[in-house]
Parts: sequence; C-alpha cells; structure tokens
Amino acid sequence: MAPPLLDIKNLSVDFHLRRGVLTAVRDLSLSISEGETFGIVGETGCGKSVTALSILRLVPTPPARIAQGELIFEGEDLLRKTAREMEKIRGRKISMIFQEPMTSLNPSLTVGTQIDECYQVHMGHSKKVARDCTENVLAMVRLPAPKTLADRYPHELSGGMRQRVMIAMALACEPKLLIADEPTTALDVTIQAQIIELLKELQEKLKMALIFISHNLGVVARLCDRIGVMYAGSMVEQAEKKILFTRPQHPYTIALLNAIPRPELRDESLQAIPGTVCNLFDPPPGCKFHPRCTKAQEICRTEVPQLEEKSPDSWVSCHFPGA
Amino acid sequence: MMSLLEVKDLAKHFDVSGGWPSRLIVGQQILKAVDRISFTVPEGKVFGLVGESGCGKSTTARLITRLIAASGGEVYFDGRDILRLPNKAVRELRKQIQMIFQDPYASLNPRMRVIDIIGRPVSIFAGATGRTKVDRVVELLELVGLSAEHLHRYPHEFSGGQRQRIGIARALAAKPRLIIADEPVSSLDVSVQAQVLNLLKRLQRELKLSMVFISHDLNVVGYLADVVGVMYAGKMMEIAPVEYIFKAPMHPYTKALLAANPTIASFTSYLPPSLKGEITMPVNPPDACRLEPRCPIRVEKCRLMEPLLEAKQSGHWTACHEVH
Repeated sequence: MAPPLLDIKNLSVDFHLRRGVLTAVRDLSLSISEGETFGIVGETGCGKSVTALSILRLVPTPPARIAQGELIFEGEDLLRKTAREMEKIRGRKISMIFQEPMTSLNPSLTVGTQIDECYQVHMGHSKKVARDCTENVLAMVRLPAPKTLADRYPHELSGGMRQRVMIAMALACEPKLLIADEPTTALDVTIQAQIIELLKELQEKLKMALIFISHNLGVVARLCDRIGVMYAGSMVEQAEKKILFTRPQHPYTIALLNAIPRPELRDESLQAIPGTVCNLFDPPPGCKFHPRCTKAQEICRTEVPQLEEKSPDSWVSCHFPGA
Repeated sequence: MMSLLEVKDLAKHFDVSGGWPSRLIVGQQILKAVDRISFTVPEGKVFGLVGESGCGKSTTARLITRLIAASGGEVYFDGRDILRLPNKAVRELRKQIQMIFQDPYASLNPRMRVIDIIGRPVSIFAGATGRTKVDRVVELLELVGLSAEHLHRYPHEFSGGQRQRIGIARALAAKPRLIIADEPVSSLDVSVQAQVLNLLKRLQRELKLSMVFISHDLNVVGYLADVVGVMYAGKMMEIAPVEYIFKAPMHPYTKALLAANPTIASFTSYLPPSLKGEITMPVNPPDACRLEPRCPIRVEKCRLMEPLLEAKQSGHWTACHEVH
C-alpha cells in the first residue's frame, strides 16, 4: 500500500496561558491517503480546529506550543520545516478554508487581486497570466460572470459567494490536501447543500485529499469516507463512515448520535449527555469522558484508554467499547 | 380548538432607501421583511417557525411581542388585537407573552446575579418581595434543573446551556401563557442542546405552555413543534402539522429544505439536488412568487401572480400555483 499523504503521529498541542497549561490536542494520530476524505467531528473546544491549524503550523506560537508528535506530509516532517519552507507548502500543497469567509478575505482588495496572488507567489505567473487562471478557477467554483466578479470587493458578495471565492483561492494551485474548517457553519442550509455538493465534485475532479471539520455529524456524513470523533483534545473513535453510523463503539459517539433531535423521536426525551465538557486546564485522570459516561468503571478513572483497532476499519479508545 | 394566538395578514416593511441622493436616483425602496403572513397557535400547542436567515422569522417574533411596531395586520391574543393596545396595556401583555432569546451570553445582564435576573420579573409581575421572592426564584431554578446554590452567581460563572436555563426560568417567572422562543438552542452544542430541548419539552407539557418556536434547524423544529410554518423571503410558504411537513411536504421550498437538511441518515453518498441560487431580499418585490427565481417546478404563472396560502388538504396550507 502506498504511504499515506499525511500521517499525524502522536500530536500534542499545549497552550501556555496565565491560568496554566491547557492541552488542546492530546496524543492524536491519524493518517490520510491521497484523494481521501476525512471528517473530524466534535463539540466546541474539542481541539478540532487546533488540529487543523497545527497541520499548517498556523497555531499562534506563543501561547501555543506543539509539544510532541510528527506531521509527516509526503514523507517529510512538517514540524522540521523552516518558516520559509512552510510558506511554500501553504496554499501550494496544503490549503485551508475557514468558517467565516468575511474575516478571511481582505476587505480592501478585490476578489481577483487576492486570487491572482496565489498564482504570482506560488506559480511565478505574470499578472496577466495569473488573471486568466483566476477567471478559470472562479468559473470552476460555479461563480457567474468570473470576469466582472474578479473586480468586485468581498463586501459586495453574499455569504455563499464569498465561501465559493475562498474555495477558489484554496484550490488555485491544485493542492494535494485541502483542510476545510467548518466551511458551511455560517451558511443557510440550502446554500450549505450547494457548497457541500461543490466540494464533493471538486474533490473528486482534482483527486485531492480533504480534511473536513464540522460540529455537525450530518454534514460530515454527506461528504466524508472516514470520520474521526474528538472529545476534549483526543480522538475517541475513528471509523469508516458507514461503520461509525451503524455500529458506533465509543460511548461518546453513541451519545452524540442519540442526542440529535429528529421528528421521529417526538414522543421520547432525547438522550442528552449529562454534565458538561471537562475543564481542559484540569482534566480528570484516566479517560476524559468518564465523568459523563454511563459505563464508567474503576479502570476508566485511572487509566487512559488507547486508540486501538477493535474491529476492521474501526478504531476506538475506550475500555468498554460497544453498544 | 381555541386558538390562543391568531396572526392575520401581519406585515412589517422597512424603508431601506438610504439618504436622499439614492432616494432620488433609485426611488423609494421598501423591504417587505414580513409580508402579510397568517397563522394560529392553539392553546397548549407549539407552533414551529422555520426558514433561513432573512426570511422574517425573528421579525415576526418581535412583532408579536410588540418590540417593534407592525406595518399592518392584526394579532389576536386571547381574542384581543394586541397591535392596537395602548402602550400602557402592553405592560400587562408582557406578563402573558414572554420571550426566550438565542444568545444566552447577550441576553443576560453580566452585572446582575441570578437572584436579580429572575427576581426582577417575579417582583414586577407577581409583586413578590423578600422571602416569597427568593422562594419563588428557587422554585423556578429547580424547575429548569438548577438549584438554590446558583442564586448569588453571575452569568459568566455558567456554561452556555446553564445560561439558557436561566433565560428560560426568567421567561417562566411571569407565568406567561405564551412563550416566544427565538432560536433558543442554536448556539449550543448537540449534547447540551439535547438537555435544553428535553427541558423545553417537559416544561411545555407540564405547564401546558403555548409556544411559538423559531429555528432554522428542521430537526429541532420537528422534534418540538406540533404545527410547522415554513417562511421564505417574508412569506409563509406552507403550514401543516409536523408529520405532514416531514412525510408529505407540498411546497417545493419545503422539499428543498428537507433535502438540504443534513441528517445522520444521509451517510449514503447520494446527494439530493440542491436549490440553485440564493435568497433575494424582498425589496420592492414584484407580484410574483418569491421562490420563482430558484424554483425547480416554476411555470409562467409564478412570475406574474403571487400564489396565496390556501388549504390544499384539511389543515395543510400551501402557497404554490403548482400544488393542487
């Protein structure tokens, strides 16, 4: 089997703050092959965005510090790259799309100028050639009249169009890996459906790998082959999509799936997860989920479970996996 | 069945012409944020209002609570037209209609302790003071799953879910007959959202509350509402009992919303075709169906005449020329 495109090994990211040290990502491992779509799901503060930012080495340092781990991309460790080398990778080989397109686009430059830059910087194109490429890529993300659109400013566009511009910019240099961090969260459902459709189509066309981060299991379900569920900085379960939804193993995944309201459940109460996410400054010993877990035993309070392959294509970090 | 709230041809128009230069060049521009919508909320039932941003659902909530003045229409609460009540009587009305807001961070005063946040409506509406007031606040806290130990804390000491519980307790303090909940669980994570939804459902059943529940999330509305109204660009597109909306939707917009609704059942790789284009703001809207530019089943007539909300089946109302 070909080596994975990106192999994250035991990544830990700490934030050194006045209140103490917060471990946002703890001992996280995952690998993505070329052309694969991987979804990361989890609730607020579970470390999914920090993971994404760490891959591009965009976590603000300080306060953050990548405490340990390796980020092997195309056989080389990204953590050993110099700032200069990273600049050549960002946008060229690995691109990212963020949640709020308005804050990620420069409000004082036209859409075209911002995309031209990718081609000028990474491909060394002249201004004129760059503009032609820009128009092509704008057409590729299905924006109407790319020629005139390139001369417009971000504030003149709707949320859905801005997100398309972001996608165009990210895909300009045909990266090997695209990281999308909640790209549809700020959008309405019908627009969200359009963007998902577009991402799926482009991902297949350009054969790029995709890491899609979302708090919404339904959105990830539509787009990804494999899904990882994060809780309090750790990957608690990682499985092929169908396995995850039909036979979830980790109590947190099971609880998360049961907490989603559906019209069929009208006459029952939802299975809410009791309590709240643990304080990351002072996490509980053992399994981070044990204070909220219905199956917690003595061992869960003392020993951290490891992510292990419990059945083919299904990795779980739990002492008592299964329904 | 007695209806507690009856909304008839309710409208809110905003003048968005801007300053006089653009007024001279472009002319007057009227945004019809809510355009002659009608619906009823039966006593003890939950009316769910769904739609995407800009469809007018929050404006509707503000109109019913008289936080903003309507441009037209009537709203009957318990038989009285509340849009024509004198301002003095509105105060009395607020006792009966209470609101729960979306953002539990912005809707609680950070300088007030829980006892004051919930205690204020208790003393204003029930006239309780001293011991009785504290007892009532504790009772309300317990009703929403908090306890007396939380009395003297400030909002920042609570999590999002707990704050929303405080917001709910505050709304219940006046013993209202109608609750308007505007996206009350939208800012919460799924696991906490489920806690708050369970609480709302339990309270609604135990206290037999009538509720207008506003959300952009079809799953949430489907779980809580008895009757659902679907809005688009200021217009009511479809009203039906919740099971009809999900099992036999009639309006093309409702169908598109359902198709776009990401559920965990959608893990098959099939992607239903999405609605093309984007919502256009109803500024000086023509006499046409608002969905026409995006509609997959549009015909000539849709561009020329606005469809009326009609009962196509008993209890199932749709505004579409192509649905019979």
